[in-house]
Amino acid sequence: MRRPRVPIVARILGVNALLVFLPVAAFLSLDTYERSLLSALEDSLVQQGRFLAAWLGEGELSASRAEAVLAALGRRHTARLRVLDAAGNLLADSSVRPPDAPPSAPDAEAPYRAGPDVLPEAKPAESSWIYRLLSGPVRLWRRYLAPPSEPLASADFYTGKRNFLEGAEVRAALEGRYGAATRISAGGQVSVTLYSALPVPSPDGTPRGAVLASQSTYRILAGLYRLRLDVGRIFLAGLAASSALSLLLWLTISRPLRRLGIQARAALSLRGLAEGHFKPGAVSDEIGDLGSALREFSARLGERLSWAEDFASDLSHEIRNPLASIRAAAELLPDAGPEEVRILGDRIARDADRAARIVGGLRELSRIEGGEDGTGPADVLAVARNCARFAADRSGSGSGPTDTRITVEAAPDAGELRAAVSPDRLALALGALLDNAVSFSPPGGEVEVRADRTREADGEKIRLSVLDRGPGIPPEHRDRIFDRFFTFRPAGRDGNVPGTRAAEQQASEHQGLGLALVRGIALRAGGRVETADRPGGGTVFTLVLPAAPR
Amino acid sequence: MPDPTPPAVLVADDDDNLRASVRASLEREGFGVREARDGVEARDFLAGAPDPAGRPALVILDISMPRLSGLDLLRELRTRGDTIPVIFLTSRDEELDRVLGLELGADDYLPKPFSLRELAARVRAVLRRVESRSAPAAADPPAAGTRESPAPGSLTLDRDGFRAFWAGTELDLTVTEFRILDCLAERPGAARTRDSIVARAWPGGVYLSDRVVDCHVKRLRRKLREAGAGDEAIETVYGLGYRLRP
Repeated sequence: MRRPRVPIVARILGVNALLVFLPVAAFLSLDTYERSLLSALEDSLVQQGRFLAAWLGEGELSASRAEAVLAALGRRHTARLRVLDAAGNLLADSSVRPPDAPPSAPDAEAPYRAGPDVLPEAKPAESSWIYRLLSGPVRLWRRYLAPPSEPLASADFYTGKRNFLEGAEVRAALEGRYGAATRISAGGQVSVTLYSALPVPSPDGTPRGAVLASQSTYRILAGLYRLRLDVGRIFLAGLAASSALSLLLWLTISRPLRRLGIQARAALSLRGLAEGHFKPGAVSDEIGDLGSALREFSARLGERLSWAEDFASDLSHEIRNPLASIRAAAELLPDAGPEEVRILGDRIARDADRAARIVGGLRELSRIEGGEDGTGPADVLAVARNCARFAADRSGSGSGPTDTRITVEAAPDAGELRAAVSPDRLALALGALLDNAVSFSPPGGEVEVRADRTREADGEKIRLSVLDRGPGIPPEHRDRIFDRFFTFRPAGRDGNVPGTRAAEQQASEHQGLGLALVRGIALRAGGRVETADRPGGGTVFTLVLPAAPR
Repeated sequence: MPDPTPPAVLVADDDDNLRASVRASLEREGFGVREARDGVEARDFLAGAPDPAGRPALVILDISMPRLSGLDLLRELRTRGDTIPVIFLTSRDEELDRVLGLELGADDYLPKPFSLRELAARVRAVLRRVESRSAPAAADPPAAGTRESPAPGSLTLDRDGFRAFWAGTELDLTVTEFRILDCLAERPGAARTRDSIVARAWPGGVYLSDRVVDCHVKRLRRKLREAGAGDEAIETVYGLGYRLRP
């Protein structure tokens, strides 16, 4: 199953645009403003009609008086006003100029012009592309989803008619009631014309006639269109601003993330995770943090990978030597004499042991280097004394040079020496150091273990030194002696002839893992191991371990 | 042995057991054997035996040795102009790559673990080649009676002597290269997969990457080109292996 992919940048843009669009859309669709304008228009229409009707009701209703009254109004009304007699016949019309009247100024004329009209602007607002674009959804809604409105009678309803009784509102007015009608304006406009008819009162109660006030909503709608157009412009400006903001967000969020993704994929495909494929971001924000976390992650993964790779390579390399020897011995067996067979069998057994020791030692090393932590603290002196006893026993058992004495002493003012490392681990490391020292010591030599306490920049440390009087470490090997499987043993040092049993046995015991083990333990415990020449000849190995909190 | 002074071989390896077995095997094959426990001992031995009679005819060098590695020793020897034939013993694939990549001038190599019989065969082959190189008459194609193969074109193979000739010119091939060429020449024009080439050229059943085959074929091509064969004497069959142009 594949989830649809929506880029962050698209979401950012979507949210920002929506934030701008929602209020605009609400404003456009609620039409509150339009409705209040329309009701104000109708109110004023009725008001004008009522005034006129009241005025006309003061006297006899005739065409001349009606016209005089209309003329007296000075055309300072916004609606088209028509005066009808009781039979519905037109007596006067504010939009029909009497032939003798002077031509009025265009600006005075414009306000009351009703019906289809042409605005002074050359280009009507509603034909602008912005308006079309933005009002599209609204138009669709009106066209397809809005409830159908009352069918409206044709516009210009009364044009060319002498008798106005066809209009329901006129009939109502002539019957003494208020009548109103709404009709679509002519000329394909979306505006409508409001008609209000009011009875002209008479003393006997029957209306003398009616006043018909009408006004097209066109001007209001045109105003609204302009308003909407402005809102549309504001929206477009807001959209541009939010796009700019989105771009900014894209630059600072989406793009760095994308880059991290690309880097991660590249790192994976190259397998060389350790090579710092995650480049630090320019800004230190959450993404920068993620980047450095990923960098750290990939570096450590890379370390781990190369560690595992080196480990496997070392293992296969070291195992091949005993294997080669076993295979060679096995090949010699068929043609060997009885004595030779015994030697070869012995050799095969020893090589098999060697292979087993290599595997076991590497297993131990991988547990330590690979991160299984023991728990401390360890009483350093107690561990050292135990290790010294065991190492002395081993050295006396005949495999190594014999009669090496091992002494353990603590600095007089050291107090209780407790290191933050598991006692088992410490014993393993110290045992390896002691075996190493013993094997390099001349016969009858002495190996010293000294324990001390020091203070370093990052806390209190326990120093545990192993000193021997061996031949020392050649400078060129200094930095390699802690590597897995690195061994150097001066040839013929202890008089063993190559190929003799003693030499073989000794060679097979030191698989080059002891010091690697020591370093692994020290590093895992948060310490280190140092080596130095001992004044007067020999070597000093020093384990520096963090002291256990007291 | 008919030869009154059997050729001596210096075996340099830090593994005592292996050295002892190699010694026993080579002595059975009639070679005199000297031993060295590391690179420095081997170097001292070679330096201390300038006398041609006491000097070994060939050195078997382990690569990973304490104090001085086999690679470093060989580099030293070749820098000094010493052309003593060398067979490497390797236990790391990385080392193998370096032996092949550096073209230090080793005559052959064997990955550990190896067969003693194979080692002896290679020692003999290398010595025979060296001999034929020094004796001018030996550059002729093998005389009738030796196992000569109906190889394609101008190629002639001497399967007993591990020698190959292109139009009469001897190709200076290692045993492995000879076996690859032999494998391809068996059926000229037929493609051989890398796996089948590995099975033929490395009979010990060792695991090798395809890259090693490619590396050897590259060298084989170069040697063929130097002997006057065209560049495309060995064609690559994309995604499969190689074939010899009939």
